[in-house]
Amino acid sequence: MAPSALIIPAPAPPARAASAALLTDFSDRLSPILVKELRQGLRQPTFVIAFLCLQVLLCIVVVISVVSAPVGSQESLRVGETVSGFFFVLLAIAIVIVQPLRGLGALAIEIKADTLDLLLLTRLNSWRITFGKWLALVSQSALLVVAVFPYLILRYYLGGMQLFAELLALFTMFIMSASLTGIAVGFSATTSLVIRGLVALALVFSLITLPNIIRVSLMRGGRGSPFTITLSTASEISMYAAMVLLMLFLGYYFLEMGATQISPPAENRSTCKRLVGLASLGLLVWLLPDKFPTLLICWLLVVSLLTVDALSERAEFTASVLRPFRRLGPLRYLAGLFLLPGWASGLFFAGLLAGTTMALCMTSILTLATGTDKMPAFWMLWFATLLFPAAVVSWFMRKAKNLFTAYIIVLLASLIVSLVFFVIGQTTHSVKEMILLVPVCPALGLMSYREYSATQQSEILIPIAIMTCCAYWIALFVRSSGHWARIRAMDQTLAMKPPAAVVVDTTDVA
Amino acid sequence: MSAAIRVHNLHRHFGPLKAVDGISFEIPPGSVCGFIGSNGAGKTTTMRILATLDQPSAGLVEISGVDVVQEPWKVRHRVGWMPDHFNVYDHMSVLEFMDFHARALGFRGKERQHRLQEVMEFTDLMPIAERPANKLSKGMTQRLCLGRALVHDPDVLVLDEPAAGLDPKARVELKHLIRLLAAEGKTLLISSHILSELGEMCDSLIFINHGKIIHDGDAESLMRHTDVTGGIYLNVQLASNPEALGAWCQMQPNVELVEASKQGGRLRLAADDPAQAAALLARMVKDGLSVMEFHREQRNLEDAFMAMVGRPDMQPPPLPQQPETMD
Repeated sequence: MAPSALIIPAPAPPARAASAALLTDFSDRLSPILVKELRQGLRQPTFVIAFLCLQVLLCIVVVISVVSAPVGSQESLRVGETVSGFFFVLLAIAIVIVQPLRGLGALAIEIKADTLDLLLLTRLNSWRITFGKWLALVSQSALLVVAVFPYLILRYYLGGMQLFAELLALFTMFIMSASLTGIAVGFSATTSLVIRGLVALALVFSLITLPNIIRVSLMRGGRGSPFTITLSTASEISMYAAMVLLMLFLGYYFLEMGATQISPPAENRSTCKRLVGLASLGLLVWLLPDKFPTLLICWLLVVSLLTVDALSERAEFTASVLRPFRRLGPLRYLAGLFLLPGWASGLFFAGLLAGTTMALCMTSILTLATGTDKMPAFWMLWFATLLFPAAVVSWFMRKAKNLFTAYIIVLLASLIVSLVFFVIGQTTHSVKEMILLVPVCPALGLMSYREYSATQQSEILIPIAIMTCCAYWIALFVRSSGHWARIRAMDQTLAMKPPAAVVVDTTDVA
Repeated sequence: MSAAIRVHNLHRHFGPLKAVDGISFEIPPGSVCGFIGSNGAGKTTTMRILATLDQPSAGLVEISGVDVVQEPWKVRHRVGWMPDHFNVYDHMSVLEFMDFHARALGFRGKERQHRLQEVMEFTDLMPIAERPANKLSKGMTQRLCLGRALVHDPDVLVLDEPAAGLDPKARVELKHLIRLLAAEGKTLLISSHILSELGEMCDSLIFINHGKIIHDGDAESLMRHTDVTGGIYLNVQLASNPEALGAWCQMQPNVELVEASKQGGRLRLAADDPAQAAALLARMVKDGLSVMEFHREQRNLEDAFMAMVGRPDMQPPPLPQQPETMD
């Protein structure tokens, strides 16, 4: 007799039958978190409503089009273009707006309901959890895209369809959706409602602008727009590849940032994401060697993201994280300096990024004769702007529970203050005098960069930018010394066999 | 034989707060240990460290000889964790919930089918397999939570307040399941506020207060012995005017009304001296109390716990100054 029969008798046979069916299906080959998320996600009203609304609206549009302009008529060409516009606007709302917005709750729900602990006790690590949640949302987006195909076939018979361009637009939109979903899922690990609210606001803002961009680019031919790119030249192909790479990188990196925030201290996510970041920078240079302004913008985006993340990572990890580094022998010190988890190594990693950026900048000035000799000042001010919040958090907000949230809040505050100073300077015609405020408000230097570089102020802009950047870096370096001492202690503990009791007080670090 | 759970000089600090302050204990394999303490005593923090969900500030914690800090992945295969606060997912049935956890724990195909069948029958979840997991009663949810903790057949089970909020029937069922698990040779560490139930179920009891262990031993010896001050407990029932007992006790030296009841109450006499007890009874009669019943009573776990927690040396230490730490 089964033990449970002592308590409540009569197990229900249908449940057994259901379990047998459930356990032998195709889902056994998929990731557990993907299966769970799809089971939940496909039953959620948000998805069901979005799916049904999309189908009904597209159905109505096609029926009206066919009725108003018979297939083969001259009128049908114009109607066909309009139908395409509707397709893309409706699809964009569903997969570029609604699906990413759903991602904003992905990890936050688990954190709020205390179910994340139970997940982390299984064999799923933080990356598999985050990636699985993202993949489930992207799979649902894919389902929405696939459900549009029958209407595209109908639209083909109306004539005037740019098949390749429209399929490419669909693909681009899907990649954009995947990227935005990644960003949203990554941000969902942030418990701060303010930050998640800002991300939601940004997505809702794109609700207003994005469909218009797509509609206009499709209906007017929109030459040069990413949605009607023809990929006829090598230059266009490399630009498009760089854009796809950038979107994929952003999606990936934000997912990694989310995974880092929920990972236990015994898990190291930093090394991998920093190496991927460096590889992406290399790929960008390879794809866009002769498009320097575009390369610089992409570079700026990637480097900024890497720097912000590296400087706002929590510095709490266990001795087990050091083990793989110990296998590198003497090189472990160098690798650890840049790739260990936490903002202390992130500081050196940011320094490395600043160095490579300067090198790129000098190359552009000396070899390609692009840019100006004031560009290094701009980049220094840019890094100082990113170092400033980290310095404030490490010196004055040590008890902050979530370093990333604290960093973002300080960064936003510093940008707002700088903007206020800039506006005051503009209205009182004293922007040039305000150069003295740049060391405490580096973002002000960026905002007034054009004014400064065009006048005699440019002579003192470079030394001010260098000094500001170095001062913040040194302030952070001083603050990180305790952390490095702890890492050395952990390293020595690992060197002793068998491992003794680990005594690492990282309370305040977290 | 090595201990199933070994904790040595464990510390966990949250800033200036010492949630766990240098505790040490060992639990042998196959035994059931009760972990008792008031709210904020450090029970959940200790249990979370045992389950690898939190990191110790200092000290050594081992599960079946494996360090929870050095090798958390190995420990997770050996520990089943049942939290005090358990939430389940929306849009998911009980079976799907269990199935997800079985998948996440690495069970595949027939193996998963068999394991789920075993666990769901053991925890009596089969009749409710198709019901939405988030619409269950508290008792059923606790069974689901226990089932989830048992999926990977762990040697050690850490159950944080498993009986909290359960009705009497669900409590009896849970107790029965715990007995069955103990009979299977599992090691269980259970925290609960219902001390009498722990006394029945557990081979040993650990009392924790303000992050320090104040008792580590078996329940019987705890109840058999007089308390640390050498007092004894007396049950007194009055035929009329039971309220008078409280007022009368306040006038007497070395006597304290521990618990008032409908017809009298439980008194604690400061010394384990039959002569003093007899004298006390004589004084009661002399002072006009209508004593109907007067007998010495075995101390229960609540008394033992309160006596220990109430000791002056068990009062919370003052909070230290905020340390200037470098990170």
